Amino acid sequence: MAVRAQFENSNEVGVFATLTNSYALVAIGGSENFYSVFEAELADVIPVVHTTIAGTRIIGRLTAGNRKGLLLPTSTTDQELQHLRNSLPDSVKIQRIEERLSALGNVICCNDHVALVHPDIERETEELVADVLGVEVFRQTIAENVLTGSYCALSNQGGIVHPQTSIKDQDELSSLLQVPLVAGSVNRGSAVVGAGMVVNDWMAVTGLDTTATELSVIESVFRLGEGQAPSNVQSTLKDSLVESFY
Amino acid sequence: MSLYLEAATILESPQTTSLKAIIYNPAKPFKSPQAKLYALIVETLKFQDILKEVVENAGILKLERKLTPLLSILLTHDLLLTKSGIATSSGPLKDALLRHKARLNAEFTRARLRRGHGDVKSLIEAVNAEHSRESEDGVTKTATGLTTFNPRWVRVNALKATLEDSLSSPTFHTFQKVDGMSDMFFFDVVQKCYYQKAELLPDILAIHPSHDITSSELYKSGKIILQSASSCLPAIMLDPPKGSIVVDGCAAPGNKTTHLAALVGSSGKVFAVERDKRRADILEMMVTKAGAEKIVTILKSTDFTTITEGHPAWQASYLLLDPSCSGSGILQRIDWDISKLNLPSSDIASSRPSRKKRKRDENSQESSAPRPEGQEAKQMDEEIQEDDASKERLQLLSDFQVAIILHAFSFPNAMRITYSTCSIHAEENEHVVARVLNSEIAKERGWRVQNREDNPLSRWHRRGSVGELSDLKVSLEEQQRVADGCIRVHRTDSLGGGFFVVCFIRQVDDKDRLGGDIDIGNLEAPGQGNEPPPQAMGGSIEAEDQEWNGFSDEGPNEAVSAIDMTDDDPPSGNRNRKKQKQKQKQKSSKGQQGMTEKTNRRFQKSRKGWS
Repeated sequence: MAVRAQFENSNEVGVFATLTNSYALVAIGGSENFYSVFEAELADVIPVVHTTIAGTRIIGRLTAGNRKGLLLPTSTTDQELQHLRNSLPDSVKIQRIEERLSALGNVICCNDHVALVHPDIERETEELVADVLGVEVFRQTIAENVLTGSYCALSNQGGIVHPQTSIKDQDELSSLLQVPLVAGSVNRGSAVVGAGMVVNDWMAVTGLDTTATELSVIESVFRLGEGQAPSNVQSTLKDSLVESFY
Repeated sequence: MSLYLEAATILESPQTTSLKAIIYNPAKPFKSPQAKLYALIVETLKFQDILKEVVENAGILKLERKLTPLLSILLTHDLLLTKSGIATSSGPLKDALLRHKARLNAEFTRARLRRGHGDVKSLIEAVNAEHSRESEDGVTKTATGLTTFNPRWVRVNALKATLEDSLSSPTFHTFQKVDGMSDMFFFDVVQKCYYQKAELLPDILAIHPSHDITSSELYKSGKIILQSASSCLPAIMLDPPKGSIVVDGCAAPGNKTTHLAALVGSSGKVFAVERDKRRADILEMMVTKAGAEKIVTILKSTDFTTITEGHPAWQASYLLLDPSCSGSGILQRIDWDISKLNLPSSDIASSRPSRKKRKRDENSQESSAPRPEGQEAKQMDEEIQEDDASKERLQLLSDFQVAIILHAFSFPNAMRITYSTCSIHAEENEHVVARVLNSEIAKERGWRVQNREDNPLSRWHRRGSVGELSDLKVSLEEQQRVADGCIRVHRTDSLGGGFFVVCFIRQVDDKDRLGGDIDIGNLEAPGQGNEPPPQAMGGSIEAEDQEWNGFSDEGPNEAVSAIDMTDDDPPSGNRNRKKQKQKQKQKSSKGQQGMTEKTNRRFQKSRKGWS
């Protein structure tokens, strides 16, 4: 399901949170409103962890992670690292990496199988991403933007890329990622889809400004909410059921 | 790591023989298992394009100075395309490559997607399909759209069974006869049927390749022998009568030998000569299996050219010569050409290619300039290209082949000699025929090519190419007659591979038969005889100059100069002096021997094995 939320009057949800299939990181804010949106949806399923990274609240832009691991920038303090180690499941590998491009959330965009990274990322980082996150790593640009993490939101079900991504690029990306992609926006026309929302395999959180159209695109490409309702399943399954009947 | 280092060494050294021979008959034994080594090299060659792309795009050669381009693709192959990965414990080279594992994987995925393959399996299948000439169902579609059939040919071993017995045996009794080869292949379900070209190939059947014959009782007991139809042709063409003495000059593995044994019957005698000891063991096994051990005498580790007067085989009247050849006609064999390896270059090197690479390029440029005019045959037998190494190899092979035939020509009682190769190169076929017919001994002893009408295979439509016989110093009509006397089989003829056979005959007169005295010393002085052959009268000087044309002009000049190493005379002087020496000694056949042995030794470097 897709929900709208705001972090202290900011729509950029992806800046203040990291959401994966096995954990969620949420920035510490003045109120618990933002946190409680996650808490309400995920509390019984995965840990939702309050944290800062290098003392800042822009944790979504500084970290990158998926079900198998979490990458932190060098600026992460030892206390923060220890806090995360204590809070996250043991199966999640946590790694602090030395990378010049320290906003890992902006330069890495990943699901549980594939990661698209900034073309200028260091080779060691590339190998670490592959090892820690257990993914195939592709150096890539999205609509000629090097910040793959900012301009792409990705789950195992699908992805949204920068609204001006050409069809050819979308096809190329889609064949690399092996998931359907759509070029779209969030937060009433914002192109920075990666920073404007967070998504995992069963929920998405977008900014409060996100229009209904944007939300419906998100729900359909990530197969959230209505798409997964029993009635909908029935209609999509009907074709294949009839086919196998012959 | 030795596996990869050894593979790299093999790929770096110039190829003189087939890849299989390099690996399975090494001068110095390899540390790593031969099968592994062979598989690694072959698979790397198959995937070389994609591997080159991966290594170049990953840019690892610039960063890892220890990795050579060759090692990088060998290691990358195992990293990306095998289940177990790089088969070695960690070392600096493996670590160097593994540092870039993720990048290599990513570039491999990109290269795969660029080729339009959704998964690795489909990529591997596509590459394998591209490299296999023969599809599983025995039907080959060539690039020209021609469909050919590759049935399994079975020869009924007449020593142990008759055709009727075999057909009524449990293995074959359900099989139906069909009228055309295509009938066997144009059903989705494999029919139990056989096809026979009885008028051409007696006792020989074709069946669909999917039938498993090797587990049948007939095969195990040696009543049938799996032998391609084309390789049955020499024995059929030689057509030795029952009870005759036959020599198989280069016998192993023995399919043709046992065929000969079946033809001469229990009253005949076959001398099977094999130089290589290991292959002679295979020959022995085959002969025993075929039940021909009473007829066949195996002369192990014997060089055919060392059979001279006094040897029991010397009196043979029929000789079958199937010397080693390039094997370019063989269907199953994909000859891997390691010189075609396409190595990745690091970014710096791409503008300024490495020394080794440039050397290779120069070679290929040189070779492309002078092309032999054998275009016709080459066009028909598609995609067989040559380069320097293989040309040199063909030259060595043909020198050896000529030496073998010339030696056979000197057998005192020989009446018929067949020469065959499983090659499609004119250099080993028509050119060899022209060279031996030009030789003095052929003229003196009256060897000529059998007329097409006279041999049992006269109905076979594909004959030798007259265009390749231009070196033959006879009239055009005679050239045409010689070409008609030669038989060619194309790879697309469904007889189990490309092939070439020719039969030399001569009139046996009583003098030769009684005397058996064919010293070249005698032959070189034809004027002393009572009835000198007309052509020797007319042009004896010319003929003398032409003597050993094949050797002294075209190839092993070293062979000649090695004999007269001490002199610094010009070649013509050498030839005269040599002749004098030979006359003095009255043993001039030694000269020939010396040369053939020399040729043999040179040839050993390039030998692919006797067949």
